[in-house]
Amino acid sequence: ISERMTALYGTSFDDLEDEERDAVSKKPTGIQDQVATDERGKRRFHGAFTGGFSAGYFNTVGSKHGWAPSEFRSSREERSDNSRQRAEDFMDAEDLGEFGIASRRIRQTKEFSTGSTLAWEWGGASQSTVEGIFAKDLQVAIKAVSDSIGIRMLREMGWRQGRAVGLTTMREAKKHRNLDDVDREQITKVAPHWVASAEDEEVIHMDPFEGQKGLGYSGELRGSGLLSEKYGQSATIMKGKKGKGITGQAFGVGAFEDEDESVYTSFDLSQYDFALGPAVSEKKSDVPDSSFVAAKSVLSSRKFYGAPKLPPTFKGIHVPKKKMDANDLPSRMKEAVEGLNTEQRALFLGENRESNGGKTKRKSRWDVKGEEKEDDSFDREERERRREREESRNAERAKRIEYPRDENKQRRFMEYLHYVRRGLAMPQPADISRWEWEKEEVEFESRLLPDERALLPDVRARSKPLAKSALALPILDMMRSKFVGETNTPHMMSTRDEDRMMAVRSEMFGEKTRVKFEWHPAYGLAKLFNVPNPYPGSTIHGLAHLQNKGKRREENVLSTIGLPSTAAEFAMNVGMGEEKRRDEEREERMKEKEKEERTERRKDRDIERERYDKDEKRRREEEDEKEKENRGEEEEQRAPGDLLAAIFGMESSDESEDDEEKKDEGKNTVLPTTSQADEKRTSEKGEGKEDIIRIMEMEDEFGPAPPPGLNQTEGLTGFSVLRFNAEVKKMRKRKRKMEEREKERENEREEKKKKSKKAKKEKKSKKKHKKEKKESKSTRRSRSDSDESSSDSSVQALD
Amino acid sequence: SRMDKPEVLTTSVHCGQGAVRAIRYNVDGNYCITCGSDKTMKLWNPLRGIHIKTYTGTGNEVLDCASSSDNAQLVAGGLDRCLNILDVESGKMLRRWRAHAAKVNAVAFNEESNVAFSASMDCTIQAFDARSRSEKPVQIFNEATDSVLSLEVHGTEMVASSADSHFRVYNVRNGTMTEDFMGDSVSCARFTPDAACVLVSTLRSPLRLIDKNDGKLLMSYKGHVSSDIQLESVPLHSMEFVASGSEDGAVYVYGVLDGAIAARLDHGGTKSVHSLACHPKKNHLLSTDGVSLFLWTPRGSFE
Repeated sequence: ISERMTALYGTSFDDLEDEERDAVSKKPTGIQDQVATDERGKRRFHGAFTGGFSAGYFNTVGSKHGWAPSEFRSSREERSDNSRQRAEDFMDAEDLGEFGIASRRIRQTKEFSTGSTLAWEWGGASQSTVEGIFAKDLQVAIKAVSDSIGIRMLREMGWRQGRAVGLTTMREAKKHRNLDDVDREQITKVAPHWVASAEDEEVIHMDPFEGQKGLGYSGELRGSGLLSEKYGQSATIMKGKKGKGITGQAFGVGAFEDEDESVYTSFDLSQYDFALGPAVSEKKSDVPDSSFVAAKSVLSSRKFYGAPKLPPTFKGIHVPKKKMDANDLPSRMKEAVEGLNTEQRALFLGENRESNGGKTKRKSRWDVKGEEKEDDSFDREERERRREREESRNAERAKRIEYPRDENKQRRFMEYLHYVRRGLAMPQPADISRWEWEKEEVEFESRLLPDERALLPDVRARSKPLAKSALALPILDMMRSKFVGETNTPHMMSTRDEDRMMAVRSEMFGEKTRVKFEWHPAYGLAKLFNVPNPYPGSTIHGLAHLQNKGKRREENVLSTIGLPSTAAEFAMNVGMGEEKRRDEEREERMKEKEKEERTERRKDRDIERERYDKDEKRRREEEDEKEKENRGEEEEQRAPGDLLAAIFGMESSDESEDDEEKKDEGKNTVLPTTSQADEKRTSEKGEGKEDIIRIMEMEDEFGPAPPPGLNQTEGLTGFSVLRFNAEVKKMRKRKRKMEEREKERENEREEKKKKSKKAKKEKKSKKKHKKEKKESKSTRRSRSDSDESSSDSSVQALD
Repeated sequence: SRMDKPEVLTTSVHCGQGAVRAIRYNVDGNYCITCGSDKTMKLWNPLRGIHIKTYTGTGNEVLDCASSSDNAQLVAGGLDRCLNILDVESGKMLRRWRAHAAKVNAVAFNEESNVAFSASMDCTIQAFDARSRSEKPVQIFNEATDSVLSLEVHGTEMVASSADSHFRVYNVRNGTMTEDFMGDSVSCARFTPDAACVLVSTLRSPLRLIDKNDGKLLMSYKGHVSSDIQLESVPLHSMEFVASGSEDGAVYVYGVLDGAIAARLDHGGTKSVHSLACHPKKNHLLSTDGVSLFLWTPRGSFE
């Protein structure tokens, strides 16, 4: 049958293309291929479990690489319009489709499609305002009405909106209850056949639900923003009626539990106290608290006095009326002044010279008066005699020449002596190396006089901490500042403390129990107290002798740990100019002495340690005797012991803490008990005058004391060994380089010789050279290895 | 007469604050504040025994408080290791400094109330600018080597007592600090009204009146029991009497000059009376035994 003869109805199916191929690929499509696609075959869903958004590579705006910004191009020939970007530029084509967010289909706007299509439902629209009424009328006029069929039929039958359905003549009496009897009579007269229809009935207004919350959820009260006082009130109201309404909490409490007071969700501002007075919330008594009476008289505030009025002639500069002339002084005074020697004049002028009499040291500038009195009473002859003795002794000491030939060594020795007398460890001089200095130190020690030797253990104790690690220093520092020193142990209790306890027991308060300090208020504090700063320009806060602690704590941690600032120290050594020459000398010496010295050093160290141990023992035995002398630096001296005590034996502080915990509600605060006399600081300050003075005198002779930090870092033998090793390594490197250079030179020479020889032999010789080189290298490496290991072992031995 | 020793119990009120840690008069002496272990402070009219307001907001027990000279602020400190400043009228917390490592034992304002001090068990006293917003202290007084137990500021001078057996007097104007050894923990040190002497309570020792200038003992007062509790003592306004708490449930009032017991104010219990406060203008004495507050007045002062 030809196609032309048949009439076709409907639309034909599309031809199945490639039927055969289709038949072949009748395989069921795999799950992975069953994806939702849009009309263009793009994948619709991407992302998590393919239920996510329509987004991703294919759906991105613009190109495959994502959204491409449009160029703005404008030239003289081609003026570009001031093109504005629209939101659509950034949208997918799908977004503009029927279901997109910016659908282009023409449809009712939201305002017109209220959703309620039944006419009687319109009654719910707001009629309160004029606009509302108009709006309704407009709606009626404009909007297509699609009433239900029942309503349309009713309307056909004459029913109007707002009327009840049907005639209710039967219930006339009831229906006409609103009419007066007079009215009814009139009605019957005028229109006897009038049948009253059913009474207008209340139209049930059904408000369409607008909102996104669930049914029955009333939400928060209108206008209850976060800032309004009513905020959150509804929630609390709801909380009050249990089981009704939605409280907003996801989980309730069990039947056997009471509901917890909600701590975290109590955002209700009504729960806060906004008003003065006792708890208002429950009683809500309007009567004010009768006990709270307004003051009859206003408190007199602090009185401030204005600055005194200056006379108009006042000038800010003091001009003496008459210049002072020495000739105008009374003759007696002139004589007296002439007769004064320097010391007397110093006294007269209030200068405090340490050398005069050697006894007095002004504790602070407030002690001037007492000091002067003491001086007056002091026996002058005795003073003279003592001074002579001191001078002769000092002269003797100053003359001591141990190394007449070596000037530098002599100078170093004197310096060393100076340090020892002050009880300090001498830092390594810049002009000699560490190992030289260590050797020299031992030598110097052997030349000390017995009284100087007695100071050695003190020096050592300060230079060598008992604790191995250098990390112990900051810990020690921290501990010392945190805990009271272990002065409770009987042998540590100084005579000063005993004295003070005796004074307390015998009620002899005053001189013995009181110490006066110069105390610096912070600049801000003096200002806030409205007083001039007693020490203008002072950078110290608090007590001068407590400054170190605070400062050290603030400084870099490394500096407190005591790590040698190696770079700086080496730089110092290097920068001495003579470095090269000395190095050469040292290299020579090194060759000879290297082994020797290592063993020597070890020996020395052992000896030193033994001696140190002995000294330590002796020191402890003689502790009490020496205490008077050493008290000046008691704290430092005690440092190592203190550290151990602080780390291992803090029972006392623990006890006090326990005490703290013991006290309960009913009981009162219990004091942490501290047993007697623990004041090292005051003792340090108050007594030990002789010691201080001796030091001061020496200061005059030898110059100022070294900075306190120096001896601490210098004394760490562990680091000194490391530094020594570093130096040795450096030297060895240099040596190796020199050796290599020499060898190269030799090689060159040899090569020259060989060049003159036959060409056949050249190859062989070169090979040989290579071999030699390799061998030499390997041997060198092994040697250096052994060196390193030996140096390591030396460190270990020390540790 | 009005300047006689306080001996009549005029008011006693149960404070209802757990343990009462301290009792303090305000600047003019019309009101008093009690510090409780239930983290509250209560403002009272001690004469009528009426509770006016409760202050809360401190993080833990309140151990001491003081009122500013304009009565507008309270400074408080305690186990919360903070120094707190509260507004008297609204009860709001105005400032808080978390500066100490341990509990704050005592607090004080200076005369102008622009510096707030806190003395702590971490061996320091710290001074804060009450008007700036700085969190840092103006100065840290780290002279004490043990817990600082009491603190009083008088003009440009401060006296602080410490468990390291010393009391220290700092003078901001002169730039001096004196340190007096007392032999045992000094639980309380107070200036006399004329600031010429310091009244010192020491553990296991008599009460002592020390001359501020030379540290000499002027008088010692024996009678009260002090064994292991931090007791306070106050010089009375007229400077004719001093009073000290005691562990036998009484306050001992001594004549300043003769050192004899002028009155023993029995609190009717065995609880130790540890905190005292003296009226700044009258010889009224406030005391607490940890439960109630007691007001003692001279005989015939209300006739």
